[in-house]
Amino acid sequence: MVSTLRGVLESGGTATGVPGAPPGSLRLHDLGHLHFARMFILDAVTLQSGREIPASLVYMADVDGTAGQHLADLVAQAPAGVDEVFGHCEGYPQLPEDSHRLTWLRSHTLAPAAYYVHTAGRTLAQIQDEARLYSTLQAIVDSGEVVTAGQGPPLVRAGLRHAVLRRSGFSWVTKRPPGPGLVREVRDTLHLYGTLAALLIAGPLLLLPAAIWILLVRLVELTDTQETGAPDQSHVDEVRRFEDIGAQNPFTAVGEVKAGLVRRVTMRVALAGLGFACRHSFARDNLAGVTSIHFARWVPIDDGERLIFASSYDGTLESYMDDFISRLSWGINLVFSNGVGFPRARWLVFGGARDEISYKHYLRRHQVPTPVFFSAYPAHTAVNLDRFTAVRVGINRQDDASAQPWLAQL
Amino acid sequence: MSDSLDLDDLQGLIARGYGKLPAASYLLLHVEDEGPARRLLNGLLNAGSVTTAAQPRPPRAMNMAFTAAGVLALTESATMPAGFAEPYATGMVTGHRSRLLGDLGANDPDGWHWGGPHTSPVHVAVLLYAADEAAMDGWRGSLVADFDAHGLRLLAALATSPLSNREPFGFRDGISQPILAGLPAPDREGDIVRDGEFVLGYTNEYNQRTERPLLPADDDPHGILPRDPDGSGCADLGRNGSYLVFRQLDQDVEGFHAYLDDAARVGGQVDEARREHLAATIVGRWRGTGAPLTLAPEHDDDALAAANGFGYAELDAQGLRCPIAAHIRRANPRDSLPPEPGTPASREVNRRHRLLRRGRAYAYQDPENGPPQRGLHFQCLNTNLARQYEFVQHSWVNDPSFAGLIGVEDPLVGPRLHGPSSFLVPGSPVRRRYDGLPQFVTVRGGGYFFLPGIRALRFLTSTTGLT
Repeated sequence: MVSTLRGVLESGGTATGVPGAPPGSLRLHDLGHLHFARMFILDAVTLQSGREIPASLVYMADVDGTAGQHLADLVAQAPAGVDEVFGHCEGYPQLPEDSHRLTWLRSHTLAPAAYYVHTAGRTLAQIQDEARLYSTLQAIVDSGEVVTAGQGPPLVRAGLRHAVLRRSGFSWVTKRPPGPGLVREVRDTLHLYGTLAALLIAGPLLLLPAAIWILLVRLVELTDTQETGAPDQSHVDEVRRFEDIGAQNPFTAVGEVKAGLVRRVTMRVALAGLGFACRHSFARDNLAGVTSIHFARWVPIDDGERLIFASSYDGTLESYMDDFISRLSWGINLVFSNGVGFPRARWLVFGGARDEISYKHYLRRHQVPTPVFFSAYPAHTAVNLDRFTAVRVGINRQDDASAQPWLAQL
Repeated sequence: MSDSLDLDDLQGLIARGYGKLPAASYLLLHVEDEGPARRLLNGLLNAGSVTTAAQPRPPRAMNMAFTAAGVLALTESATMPAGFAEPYATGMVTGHRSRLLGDLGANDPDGWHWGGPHTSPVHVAVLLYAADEAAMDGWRGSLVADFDAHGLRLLAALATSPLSNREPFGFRDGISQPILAGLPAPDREGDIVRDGEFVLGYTNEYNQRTERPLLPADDDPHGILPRDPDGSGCADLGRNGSYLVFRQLDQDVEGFHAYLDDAARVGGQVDEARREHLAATIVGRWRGTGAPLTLAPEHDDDALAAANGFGYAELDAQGLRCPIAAHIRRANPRDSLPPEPGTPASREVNRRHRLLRRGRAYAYQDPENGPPQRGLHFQCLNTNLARQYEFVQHSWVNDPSFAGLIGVEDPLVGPRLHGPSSFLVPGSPVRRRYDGLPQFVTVRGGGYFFLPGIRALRFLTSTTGLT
């Protein structure tokens, strides 16, 4: 029963008084590799194609390592919790053993078409270490034990570094952040240049088809209709029950892709391009200039008839939406103007999300309440995490000029 | 699609704060008997008592605004017409909005003097301005008697202190104000912002008209309302109106001074220079002249009194002069935020989050001989409550992560939801931390109001059964 499952999902929030807290039985806090997780229910719908889609449960996690390993760890750590949640799904094994649970979970895994990470390769362990370094430095400065008036910034920085290194558990500070690792970097580089080379060779051949395709898109755009008016207030209220609790918010939304081959193919190509950009250009500290997103994913479901977009972002929905309108409307349009009801776009990138009020209503209307939202560092924004890393890197620098700006970060 | 402001149809408060009328009083009313109430308000309108923006120096002034509950009560309607801003239609007091605005703990609406869940709903705010307290007294007295005789019950008559340019903590206030592009600009520095950010029905900083209530033409058979300038044929209930945010903010003046003195005490003596510097870093301007720390980092400077033509990016990107957490830097970060601090792109983002402030300070003696209560009747006008007022309140003023900060609250107005706060004052070679900042400002009442255009006011006081 969907309503029973809803109760299970909200049990953590009920028990702790913090809306969105995960069911205690899952013990998500004990997993050392889990940054964010969420669970939500997609209600049963009839798609525009006539297809009946039953209600479904979605679990999403942003982890260090692989999805497969995460699921294995989750099952090993909290089998009862996994049963309590996923036991409401059709086909979940009766009287399960760990291997059955894991097989079932893995067979229900969906890969995102595109996946954004604020800083690729920064593990939870690194984040926690660097946050600890930052607060330790703060405490040392506050104590006055190292810093004396009249000292020059380079000397103060050296003194702070020395004081930190004298304490146990900070020997890693002298090392560079590990990053995504050599294997990943080599693979990414090959992927980047391989794809660019292929495009360069095939480019001249693709120009004409691409131009024709754009004209086709423009043609179907002329018959687009957009949703109008404000979203239903009870829906807004339900979504908001789980919003603005900590520094971060979950954004979860689902929509149908417009019917017809042109839209389907355009969506697929746009997502592929987005995936490429996330992998090669956005993985340092921003998504096309937006610095408030920790993770984001675009997941086609129902054989590409629908798309889920989900992100973990800092601040409120209002600030998040304004960031997108002012900095990234072309990118939003490229993907989401292929969705049913989206504000009308022109030539795939113009208009659309630039229509402030229509766009904000559209997003709210397509949001899905997220009754479970877990964050391993609920008080820290992505920009905060970047600062922790910058402090860790900067403490080892030898040049005098960087010492004063470094001290100003404390 | 730019068009010029119809000053005859704008209530005067949008154009000016009535600086020449030092006495102000705010009446909060509850509609008990809607028929007589409509007739009375409509009569005031027809008598020309409601001041418009076309009257540059009125001898006295009256403006009026309605909560959503007030619109429903006055017009005997069951539901609000579509197109009102969602925060307005659902009100300032909801569980979610209290989280968003920081109305928790000591600010909890449960304890509000007005506008909270345990006090009679506020329906109408009548804002009065007069040359002096004597003129105000007689006028207010006769109005209140009239209201009372016509089904408008007085919930509160909020008094204000005689207008000055200082707020109760002693700082110069109201220095930085956005300037409406469509109003004749007085000779002062400031951001010119498009009319639609403050007046409904005009082009805003997104080059669009902000959402507003548009009614089917049939709902306005006598053509009282202006028509939608975009040609839909709809009657434009929003045009020439604005949203008024009204919050009563108690200021703990003694607590603030005591904190500053304690923090600046060196060997039993208060170091005045240090105290004033601390005060200046909390606000971002020197208490004496209002000179901004960004331009006058070392000491107060008469030559820079109330100076406002500055940015943060070039002179003070790191917050070494004016801390990033300082109150005025949070409330108006100017050119200091992404995408590119110091550029027009950054200022463009900033212009989408401006507030036209109209509040006044108050001071009164507690009836039970308590300490004198001082504070600010904070008022601001804007057209998109979510993008302007609520955004500034949540994401700039109250956010401990504002602009990359790590757990630093607004030292002046922040709610201390996790106990006393601490504040970092820039210094060399490192900043100095001040601990134990208590809450200095407490919310005692509040509401979102619709300040209609004159024609919309006529419509609302002569119509029943909105849909």
